[in-house]
Amino acid sequence: MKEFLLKHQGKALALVLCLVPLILLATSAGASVGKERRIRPTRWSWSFLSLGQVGLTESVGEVFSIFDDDDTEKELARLRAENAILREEKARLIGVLQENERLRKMVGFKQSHPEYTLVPARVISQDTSPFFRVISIEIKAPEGVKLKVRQPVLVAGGVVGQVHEVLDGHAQVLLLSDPRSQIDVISQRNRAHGIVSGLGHERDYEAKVSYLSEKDQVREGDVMVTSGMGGGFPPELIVGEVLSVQPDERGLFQKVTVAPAVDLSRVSEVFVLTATKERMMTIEQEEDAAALEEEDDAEQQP
Amino acid sequence: MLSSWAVFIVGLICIVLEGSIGHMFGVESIGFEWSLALTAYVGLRRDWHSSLWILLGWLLPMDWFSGGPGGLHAFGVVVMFWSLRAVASRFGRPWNLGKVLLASLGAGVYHAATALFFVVTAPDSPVLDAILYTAPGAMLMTLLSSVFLGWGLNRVEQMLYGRRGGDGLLLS
Repeated sequence: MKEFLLKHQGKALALVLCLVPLILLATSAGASVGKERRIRPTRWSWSFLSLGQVGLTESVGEVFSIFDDDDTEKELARLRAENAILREEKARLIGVLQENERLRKMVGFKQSHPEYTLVPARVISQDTSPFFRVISIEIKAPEGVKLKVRQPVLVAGGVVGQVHEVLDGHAQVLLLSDPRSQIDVISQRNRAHGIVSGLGHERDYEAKVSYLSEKDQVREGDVMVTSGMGGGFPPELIVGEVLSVQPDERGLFQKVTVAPAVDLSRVSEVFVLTATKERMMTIEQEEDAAALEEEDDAEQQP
Repeated sequence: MLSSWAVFIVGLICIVLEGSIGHMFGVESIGFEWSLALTAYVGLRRDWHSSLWILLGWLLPMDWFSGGPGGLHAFGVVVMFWSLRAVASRFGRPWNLGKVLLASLGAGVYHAATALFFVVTAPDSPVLDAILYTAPGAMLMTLLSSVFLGWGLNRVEQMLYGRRGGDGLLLS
């Protein structure tokens, strides 16, 4: 048996190599948001890899700082070394100030929207695919708050994307510039209605707005906000600004390009919107109704 | 030749850190395409058994960190690997300019395979446009990444084992 396996090792490996992608494709239900179903062992291994990535991301910065120190010791004299240390300190302080400003904005955003249940999260990595636009976030939901796919992901400046997959302590976020992302929007100026989806460009984060006809009279510079339809995003969250409008000679609709309101290349901290006040009230009402029904059932039973 | 374990671990670190390092330095809109360069490296430089073992080990992490639908990246990578394996023997062992160009063409095969997958399964998907739009940039980045990867691994190999007769390390 052992000899047989050793003899056919190459063929067996080649077969496994071909089968792995097919199994993965068969167990994921396609490209639409929240419809992927991963088999349990795959989810476990991916959770493990995410943990490894968090550890490596944190330690890689320390590794680079060690190299910097070595170079400084070798190349610079005492005064220049001191200068370098001071400059490093200054850079660190600028970083802290920038972080402080970002966090202040986020706190301000949270305070100005008491109707939202917002869970803060830290961006730990981006995707490595040339055409998909996904970031990974490290997130710890407080007790009683449940993370789900399709929940909006925001910063103070506007919409970032939506939750694509939830793992233990981590989640994948589909940026609004991913071609799989679809967000229902309206023009703030004239309430023209369309769907924003990403263009998947590698060099920029632009998106397009579908289903806007010439009658809708959308102009360059128009601000597109979420419509609140579809249940996923609450209304009036800024998505982006219209960059260009081109009539489609053959089609019914115009070609409208949108620049996201948020600089998606520099997002470090985000909020996941887990519920709005209205939604919470609906959930509470539904729970109350369910409890009443259960009580009635219990009373009717002898 | 470097041990399979060493190549596997170096590759795994590249795969895991690609997104993190890119994010740390604010390089968000440029992909290094390490996974494609690594596939090209094992496909063109390693022997039959070790290339299969290494790629098999990388397949899940590569697929996970690509951020796409499960299995799509792995599918493209495997197609790319087989296409490169088919011509690998014609280019000799050293990691040279020919192999770097071939790695870049391999990235084109990867894009063609994923595009074909979408043509068959979801022809109206906007992902198809995105794949075709990003293909030239990804081919260029794979070319650059495979230059650095081949050079780096050759240097490590040289340091560990010294230069061997017949190993013309053109890029080292």
